[in-house]
Amino acid sequence: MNEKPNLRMLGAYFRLLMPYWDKSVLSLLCVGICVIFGMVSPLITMLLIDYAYPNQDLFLLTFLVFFGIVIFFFNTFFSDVSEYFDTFIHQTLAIDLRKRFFARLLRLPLRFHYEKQVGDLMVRVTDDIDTIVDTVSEVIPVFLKTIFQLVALLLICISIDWTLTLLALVGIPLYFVQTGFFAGRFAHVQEKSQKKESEVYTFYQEKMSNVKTIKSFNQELYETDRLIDKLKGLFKLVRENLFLAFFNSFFDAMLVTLWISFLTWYGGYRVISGHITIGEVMAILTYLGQIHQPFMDFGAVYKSLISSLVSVQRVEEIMNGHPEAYYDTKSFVLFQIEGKIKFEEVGFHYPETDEYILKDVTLTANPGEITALCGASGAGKSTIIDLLLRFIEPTDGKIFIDNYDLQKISLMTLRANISIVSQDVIIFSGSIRENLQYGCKVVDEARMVQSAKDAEIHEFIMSLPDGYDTVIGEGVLGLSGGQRQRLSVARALYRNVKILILDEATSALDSITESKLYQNMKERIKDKTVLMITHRPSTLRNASKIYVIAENEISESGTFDKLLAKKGDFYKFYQAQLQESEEKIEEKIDLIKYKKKIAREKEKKTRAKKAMKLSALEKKVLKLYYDDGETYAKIGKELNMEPYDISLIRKSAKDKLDRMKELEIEE
Amino acid sequence: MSGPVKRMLNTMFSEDMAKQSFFVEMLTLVVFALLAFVIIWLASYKIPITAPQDGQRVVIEQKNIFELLLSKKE
Repeated sequence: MNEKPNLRMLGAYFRLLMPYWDKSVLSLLCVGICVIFGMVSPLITMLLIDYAYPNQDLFLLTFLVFFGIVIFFFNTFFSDVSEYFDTFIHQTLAIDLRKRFFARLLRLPLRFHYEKQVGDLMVRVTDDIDTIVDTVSEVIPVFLKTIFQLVALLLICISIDWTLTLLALVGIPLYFVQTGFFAGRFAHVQEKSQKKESEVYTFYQEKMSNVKTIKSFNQELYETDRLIDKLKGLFKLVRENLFLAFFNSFFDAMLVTLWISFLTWYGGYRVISGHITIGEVMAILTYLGQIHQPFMDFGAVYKSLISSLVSVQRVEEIMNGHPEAYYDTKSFVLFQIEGKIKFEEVGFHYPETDEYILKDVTLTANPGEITALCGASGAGKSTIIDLLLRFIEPTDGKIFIDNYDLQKISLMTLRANISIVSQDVIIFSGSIRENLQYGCKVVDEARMVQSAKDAEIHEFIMSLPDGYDTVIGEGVLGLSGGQRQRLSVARALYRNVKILILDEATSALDSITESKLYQNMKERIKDKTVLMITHRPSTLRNASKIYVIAENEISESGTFDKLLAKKGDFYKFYQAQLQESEEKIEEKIDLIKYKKKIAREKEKKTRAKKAMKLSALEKKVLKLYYDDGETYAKIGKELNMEPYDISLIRKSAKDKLDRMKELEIEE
Repeated sequence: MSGPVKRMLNTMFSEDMAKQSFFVEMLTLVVFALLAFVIIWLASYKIPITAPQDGQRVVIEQKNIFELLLSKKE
């Protein structure tokens, strides 16, 4: 259950400012000096009007001008320094908060990531954190500056004319009323905008990662229309926000103008009645003109504070999430293991339902063996892998690695002992070397090359201009599905851990490459426990033991030959897969035939194109006959030929031209 | 450029934020000290305010700038 956002939640973020206390203090001192220096100008004007001009005092005039320059120099310097420190704190705080958020996000259980939309998380890590950082880094300095400025202004104004000052203060409560009125509405719109923005980000992210599907379904226009619908929703909120800002600033300006106008009249009255001098009224009106600024700043800070509470709640949802490695402190540390995996009557269902995804699963995977899991899609094979990696916890039963209860093993060391090659291979942007060494602290060049060789990818890497330093990833060098899978296998082999999981790891490879790969791996995996999920009949032959999963439980187990002979679930599964493979092969043959047919037709057309070319004589005859309307006799005379020959040439050239039109050949 | 000045400029434009901010902190403290000296001098210096009287300039008041800024003309 989420706590309603409150200032206490935001207060925790202010503690992040502690490491920068020295810079904050310096910045505040600079701000204080700037506030005092900012007050000097009206007083200088007052002295000029009341002393220098009426007394024709040239020395005082010169002194005051130089004094003004000195004040300007210090004011500019301290203002810039304060801005520098504020930016420094702002940037460092943003990095710090993003680091904490990202670290926490990666520690949250996989289920959380399945449930959340990536776009939404993107908005949280960017916009929401920016809003919080803006508020946290600005609130204290602006608040203190505002208080300081207000006190200084009031003291000076009271010392000049207290009645005018007291009258000026009457307008202040009105300002608070209107600020409070708008702040609540701004927060409401802000909350809706953040949600909408998350939706748009999610939409972008989802569509951009599935461009292929969109194109294949011809849905480019449909998706663009959907985006426009979403953007319209967002735009509506932006307009709402804009209208609010417009009314807010209008009322702000109206209030200030009416207030200052009244004070100007009253100040003039005080001069005429002889209570204050012209210089004093000029100074006090300048100050009273400035007095609304602290209130406006205060109002802006208050609004930003209220708006940031929405962001705080969204970020806190992640920060307060229960991290995966929470129980790790009292766990066993797996150091050197043999890699024996044992499932004992393991069952799993999600907390919100009683429907089991896996029931009574008992299996053993021994070191030095390849244990295969097979079964129809959705039977629960991948759930077994998720349980082994502790992405999810079993509802019933226990899982052991070398007789250590999995739940009591440190999560970090558990995953450090398992390498997984999944069907959806993820290649990170970076060099091939970085991708192969991902997750390994020790760099072993020879082992990396050997792993690539065993995964049948070394030759391909060496054919690239920069070899292992070639940069791959989005927008750089794209790899085919097979190359990605081989790279992923090489990465898993390089990690050299005791347990290797191959989840449809060779599905994109052809049978010959796959067979070579398993041949190469034999030596490398002889002391490892290999758990393999596959649909491919050819891959299943490599397994020492096969577990068949049907209807969420293990229906059969045994060696390949034994299971086939039994003619049970495995036999049916194997036959179905075999048939599918054969159908796929037939499809491939049809495709090759079709491609050959297209190539032949293309070649024929090219040849026809060459043969169809009109000669210069034919072109001339056609032009004279059709364009100029000459007779055969006249053309014959012009070309020094018999009219009969000209008629033959005309006929053959016309036929050629018609055929060329048929074949869409341009002349 | 000589050694200390070059070093100072290098630090000022350093990509190392910690180094740069330390430099700015030190510079700020130096300017604070300079400001203190200026304030002390301004406080000790009495400005002679003169006015024309009988064709001559006569000193009517002597105040430092702060007294002058905060004083109220009678």
